[in-house]
This record gives sequence, structure tokens and C-alpha cells, in this order.
Amino acid sequence: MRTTRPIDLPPAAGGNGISLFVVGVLARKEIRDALRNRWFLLYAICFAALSLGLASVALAGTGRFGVAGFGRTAASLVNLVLLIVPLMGLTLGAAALAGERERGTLETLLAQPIGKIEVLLGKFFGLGAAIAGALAAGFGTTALVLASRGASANSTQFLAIFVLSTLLGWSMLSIGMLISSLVRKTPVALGTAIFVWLILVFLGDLGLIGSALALRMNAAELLTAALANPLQVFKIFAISGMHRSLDLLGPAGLYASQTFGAALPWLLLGVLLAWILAPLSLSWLIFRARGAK
Amino acid sequence: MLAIETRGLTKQYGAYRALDGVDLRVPAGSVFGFLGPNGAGKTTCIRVLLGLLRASSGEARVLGKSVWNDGAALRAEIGYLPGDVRFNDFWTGRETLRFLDRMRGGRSAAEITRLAERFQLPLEKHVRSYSRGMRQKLGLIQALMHKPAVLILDEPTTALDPLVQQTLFEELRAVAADGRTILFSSHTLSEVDHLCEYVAILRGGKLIEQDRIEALRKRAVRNVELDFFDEAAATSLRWPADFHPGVCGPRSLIGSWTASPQALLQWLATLPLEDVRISEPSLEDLFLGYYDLRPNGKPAANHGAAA
Repeated sequence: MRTTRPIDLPPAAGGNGISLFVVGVLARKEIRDALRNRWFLLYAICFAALSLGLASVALAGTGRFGVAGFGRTAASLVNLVLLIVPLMGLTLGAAALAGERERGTLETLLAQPIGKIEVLLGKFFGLGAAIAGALAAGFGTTALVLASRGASANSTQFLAIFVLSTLLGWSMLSIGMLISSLVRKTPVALGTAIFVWLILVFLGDLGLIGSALALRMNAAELLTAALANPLQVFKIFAISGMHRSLDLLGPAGLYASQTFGAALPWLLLGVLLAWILAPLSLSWLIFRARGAK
Repeated sequence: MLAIETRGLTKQYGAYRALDGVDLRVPAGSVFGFLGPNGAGKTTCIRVLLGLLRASSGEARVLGKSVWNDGAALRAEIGYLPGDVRFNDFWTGRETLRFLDRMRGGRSAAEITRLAERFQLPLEKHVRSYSRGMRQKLGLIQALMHKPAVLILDEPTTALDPLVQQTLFEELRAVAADGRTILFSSHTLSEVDHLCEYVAILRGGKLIEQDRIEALRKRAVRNVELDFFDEAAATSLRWPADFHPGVCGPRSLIGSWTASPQALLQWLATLPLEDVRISEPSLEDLFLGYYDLRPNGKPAANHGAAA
């Protein structure tokens, strides 16, 4: 028979501030739950498999190993990240509160000496760590394969895309948690998350082009509209990191390069962080008011 | 001293008022029964007391602290069993309790082991393989394990077999003997009658009565059964306004008496009786009287006195 492991922890539970210990306990619970979530595992495996596939194609395209392996793979991964990571973040976040609310476990959790902010942060950090772990596994496996075949150039670029992908995943997680705080039923939350994913991924580009034509937007307005979509922010950030020039993105990219220059990465980072913090703050306000109901 | 106190507690959902000016007073160290049919507002009231719901108006204090402003700190002092307790299905009972214990400081390992043995709950099994009764036991252990100053139990005997119910009652008596407070919501009136010292009755979101059960009994009507020597005496009987006749036989009459015992004795002394039986109402009689739900459908005589 197993015995209870001695617990060497906290005095903090029950206070009215934020207990990092409690947040940690809740985050670990979320990581465990995520590792049992079949959808999450499926996304992670798909991402790793497709990353490996893209790496193989990139390596084959160079004609010889070790020259442009990391750079080419990183460029290919941007599109893969734009498809899979938002879906992963949005669906995980959407099920976070709605799932517990629907199963009835949220009431038991909130009856403990913990604050709602700790529950929300524990879920965010736990699921955020799970997303980072899944991406690290995908990027890591790909990097190992590339390195084993002698590729070494542009590894920093590859690492930067991993970091940006993680930030994108967290922003999507945050939006997913906002959805989760608003609805009671898991299927509704997941349906809404997939709808948001469709809008961001597929209608983002088309909507931007359509709006630019219909409203005769100038370059500054086009850039502002692009920054309203975290996926576009990620794309601009990733491309600017790889090419140093945003000619690929047309007038908005040129405008961004010329106007912000060296400050552009900081601006993009700020916008991406805002896309993490703003939905999370909103979900906190809603969750605080609604609680387990 | 009061362990739980609410003043004018009101919870409104749109036009529907789930709680309507509830003034609950639960003395420290008491075992307090909380009665009311489904939809009376018991669970809403309990959720407000735990800080899980915010009251629309009024005030609620537990152990002198505001349930909303000091919620997290207060819940460290409270053990709570929800009416429909749920846990993560993928965890074992031990993992569940360890997780909940860690959020309370991780000091209950010995008590968890003791309670699991008392309730004969196999902690190594996954929650998904537990029966409804085993889940209820797990819920009871998590509510009791940290030896809370206030224990709030919503329908604690649901799905428990009679033997486990006895074990639970023994545990609750030990908690009460320790000077801790128990708020006990139940539909099973006999167990409230058996365990509780005080009782509060909620109807349509309003608190219609709260007092010691004995005091309620003393204030309440008596059931009176009269057996006459002959049918003529029974049929020609004239009764005072304080007697409410129910079932009539050829030589017998059963009814309820709403005035003082002295007045009853004076009236009985004038009757040609072969036998008389006077009994105190059970808690069920009291409860049904407040709700006017007795099988014979007689109306409640007055507020605070069940007929």
C-alpha cells in the first residue's frame, strides 16, 4: 500500500493575498489534466510530426545539409504555428473554467481557502506550461533531427520562433480563458473557441485585405488593423526577425519598418503581451463576479 | 457567541428572489439543522456563507468575519460538503485528498488516514470507479480532515448506507463535543431531530422559524387522541376554538390543540372520556405544519405553532 508522501509546504493558504504556493499547486494540477487531455496530446503530436516533416522538406530543398536547415525550417514553421498553436491555446483555455463548472468540480475547488485570482492564475500558468512544453517537444525534436544532420546556421532564428510561438500560444490561451469565463457549458465554449480560431486564422488575412480595399485604408491604418489580430502580430514579428525587412508584408510592413525602425520588435512584443494580459484580466473580472455559477 | 450570523440576507436573480431578508443566527458550538424543501434557498444561503456567491443585499458573517471580504481566510476555518459533491475522475481518492490538503497547508495526512479507515474508503482507487456512496464518503473526509471550526454539510447522508450514517453521526457528535459548530442541511427530518439542538426552517427564500427544537415543540400544538365511553358522547361533543378536529371514529376523535396545556386539561376534565393520549409533535409534524403539507391537509394553526 502506498503511503502519504510527507508534505513540506505552506503556511500561506487562506490569506487574502495571492499565494504563489497555491498557484503552483493548481498549475501542477492543470499540467496533469492537460497530459490526460486527448485533444491536447493530439495537437502536440500533430505539431511535432508536421514540424519534423517540414524540417525534412527544408533539408531536402537545400541540396546539402547544414547550411540553411534551421532558417528554412523556421520559415516553414511560421505557417504551421499559425494554424496549430492558436487552436491548441484557444481550446485548452476554453475548457479550463467551463469544463470544471460543468463537471461541478469548480464549487469544490472554490470552497477551499483560495481566491478566485489564484484559481485563474493557476490554470493559466499550468496550461501555459503545458503549451510551452508541447511546443518545446515539437521544436526540440525538430532541432535534434536538424542538428543530427549537421545543420547549425540560423539556430537563433529557430529559437526565436519557438519563443514567439509560445507567446502566441499564451495569448490564445488567454482569449480561450475569456471565452471560458463567459459560458457555462464546455461544448459551447469549445464551439466558440473554434469559431474565434476560424475568424483569426482564415478570415484574418481576407478580412484585412477586404477592409483595406473597401475602406481605402492607408498604410498606418492597415498596420493598426493588423496589430488587432495576435496572429498577424506573430507573423510580422517572425518575418521581421528572419528577413530584417518587412517588404514581404507590403505597404503596412514598409510603413512599420520605416516608422518604428529598431523599436518595432519592442512594439510587437508589447502588443503580443497585451494580447496575453488584457483577455486574462477581463476573464478575471468576469470570473470574480460569476464564481462557480 | 454566534458562529454564523446573517442580517437581511437577500439574493436576487432577476425578478426571482432566492433569499429574502434571511436573519440566521447559529450559536457557536451548536449542531444546527437547516430545513426546507427543494428550492427553499438552503443551498443558495450556504453558498453565500462560503463566499461562493455574493449576496444582493444584507450581511453575512462567519466566526465574526465578512464572508465576502475575508472569504479565502474564512474558508480555511470551514469544512464544506456540497449537496452534489464532484471530484476529478482521473485521480485516486488519495490524490484528491492530497491535492485539497495541500491547498490547506498540508497538515491533515494523519486525519485523512483515520477518516478513511473510519468510513472504510479505499483511497488507492480512482474516483471514476467509486460508487455514489464512496464519492460522498470522499466528500465527507475532505470536509472533516482539517478539523474545521465550522462544518457546513449539505445533505451529508445522501447515498450513505445506514451503517455509514451511524459512523458519520458519531463523527459529528465528536465534532460537536469538541465545541465546533455544525450547520447541517437535510431532508431526513429524523436525523436532524436525532442530531441537532437547533433548527431553522426556510420557505420560499424566507426564514420562517429558528430556535431550539425543544422550544419549538413547547410552542407547538399537541396531538390529542380522545376515546369516549359511548358514541353519543362523541357525536354530541362541542369543542373550543383551540381544538382542531381531524380523524373521527364512532367513539374516538383525533385532533390538535393550539392553546396552553392547562387550558387543555381543564377542557378534558369536563369530558366523559374512557382514555386520552396527548403527544408532542415530532420534528416532521412541526416541519410539515410550517409547510401545511400534512397528509390530512389541515392548515397550520398559526405562525410558529404547527397544527
